[in-house]
Amino acid sequence: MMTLKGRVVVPGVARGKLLVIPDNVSFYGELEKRDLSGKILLVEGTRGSTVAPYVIYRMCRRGVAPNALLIATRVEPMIIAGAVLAELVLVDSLAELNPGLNLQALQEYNGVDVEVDANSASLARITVPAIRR
Amino acid sequence: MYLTQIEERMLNGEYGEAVRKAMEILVRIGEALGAPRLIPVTSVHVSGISVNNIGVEGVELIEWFARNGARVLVKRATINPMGFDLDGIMPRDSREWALQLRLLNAFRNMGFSTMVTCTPYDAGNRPGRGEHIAWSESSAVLYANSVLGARTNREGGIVALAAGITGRIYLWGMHLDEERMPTHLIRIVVKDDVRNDLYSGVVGAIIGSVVDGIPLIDEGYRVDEAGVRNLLAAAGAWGSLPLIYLPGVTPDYRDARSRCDTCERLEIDDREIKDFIERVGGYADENVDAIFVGCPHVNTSVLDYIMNKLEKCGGTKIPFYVAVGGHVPREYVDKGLRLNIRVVRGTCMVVTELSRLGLESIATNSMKAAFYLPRRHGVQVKLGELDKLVSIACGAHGG
Repeated sequence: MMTLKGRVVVPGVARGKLLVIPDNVSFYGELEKRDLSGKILLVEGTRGSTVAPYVIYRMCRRGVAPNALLIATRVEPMIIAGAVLAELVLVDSLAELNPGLNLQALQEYNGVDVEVDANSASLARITVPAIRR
Repeated sequence: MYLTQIEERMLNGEYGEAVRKAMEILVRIGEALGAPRLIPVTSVHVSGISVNNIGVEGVELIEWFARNGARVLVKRATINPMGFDLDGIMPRDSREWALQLRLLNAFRNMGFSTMVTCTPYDAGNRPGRGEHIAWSESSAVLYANSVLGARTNREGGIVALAAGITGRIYLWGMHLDEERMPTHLIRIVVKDDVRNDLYSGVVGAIIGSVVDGIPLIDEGYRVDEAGVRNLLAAAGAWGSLPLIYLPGVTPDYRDARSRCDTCERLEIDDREIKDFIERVGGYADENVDAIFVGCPHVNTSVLDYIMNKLEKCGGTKIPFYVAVGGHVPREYVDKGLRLNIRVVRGTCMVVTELSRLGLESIATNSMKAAFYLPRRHGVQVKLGELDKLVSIACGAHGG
C-alpha cells in the first residue's frame, strides 16, 4: 500500500478507480467527451479555458464527471470554480509533496480502488493499495 | 484566508445557497492563489454569455443562481456579447435563440444590465482610477487597467459573476501595487504611415505573443482612441496580459516609466509589423467575401464615420458587418440596412455561428478577430485599416 500526499483545494472524501493521465489535459473539447464516472482522475496539469467551469458542471449534471480530480502541478482558478460548482473533490501539488512522483509509472495502478481523504484543513491523503505484479 | 463576519455568514449560507456557492468559489480560488483576504469591488463584467459556448447546462446553472437568491451587490454590472444579434439581422435558430433569451432573462433578474457588449466602458460601466473591479472579457480587462486605471485581473466569467453576487474579489495580482510594476520596456520604431488602427493592432498582437510580464511602451509612440482599443484587444487575444502602460494614456504612466530602467528591453520596427501581417493572411482587396469591423465593439463615432463614408458612395458593394453593443440605438441598424451594412447589436463574428453564413474569407482591421476567426471558424482573414476597408466596400471606382 502507498499513500500520496496532496494539497486540499476543494475538500471532501472520495473513492473510485484510479485513472492516471500523465499529460496536461483540457476539459473543454477533450475530457468532456469521456465518461469518467466512478474514477479518481490523476493528471499532470490542466489547460485552463474560461469555459472549463461550465464543462465540469455539465459533466457532473450528465453523471460523467470523476469522483475526484488530482493534479500533480498547481491547479488553475477556472478548474477550482468548476470543482466548487460540481462539488468535485480537488487536490493539487502532488509532485511537490511526493518527491520522485512518476505519473508514467503510476499508470500501472490504473483501475485499482483508491481513496482520497481531503477532509483535513490542508493536507490530503490518497491511499493506493498494492497490486500484484 | 481572513474573512470578515459578513463574509463568514455568506459562506455559511445565511444569504441563500447562491451567495454561499459564489463565496465558496472566491474563497477556494483565493486560498489556492495565496490571497490574504477579500476586497470590495464596485463593478463586474461577465463573459461566457453565448449559448453556443456554455450549452443548456450553462444556462440552467445561471438560472439556478438567479432562482436561489443571487442579486448584484455592485454599482455597475454588465455582460459580454452573446451568440446572436438583438435584432435578428444575422440568421438564428429559434430553439437556440429561445435559450439565449432565457440566459439574458436570468442575468436581468439578478440585476445585470443586459445591454450586451464587450466595451462596457461605452455603456455606463466605466470605473475610475484606482477602483477595484472584477471583469472577465480580455480586451475590456486591458482597457480597464491600461486606460481607466482601474484594477482587475483577467477573471473567468463565473468568477466575475461570483464577485457581482458577493460584491468581493480575492486580493491578488493586479489589485496589488507591486504586481502592476512594469517588467518590459517596449520601443516602437516606425515611420508615420505605420501608425493607423491596423498597425496598432499588430503592435498589440506582437507584444501579446512575446511578453510574459507587464509591458510599458516607451514615449514617442502615440495612437488615437481607436488605435488604443485595437492594440489592447489584440494583446489580450494573442497573449494573456492584463495591463500595458501606454504613453499619454495610462494614468500612472510617468511613475511606472521612472521605475522601468531595469526593465527587459524590446524593439518592434516596421518590418516586423509588416511581416506579421503577411504571416496572418496579408492585405485585404476586393476579392473577399465580407468585411467585418467591431472587435472590440465600435463606438457610435466610428459607426457614424463608416456610415457617412458609405452614404457618399451609395452603400457597400460587398457584405459589410459592423458589431456594436446593445446600448447603441436601433436606428443605426435601420440606417445600416439602407446602406446595405449589417449593424449587429450585442454579438460579434467571433462568438456567433459564422459557419451558417458560408463565408470563406473576411477582411478586418481587428487583430483580435484575426486571431479567433481562423481558429474558431476556419475562415481566412485579410487585413486592412478602416479607411482601406471602407474604400473596398465602396468599390474600386466608388471610393
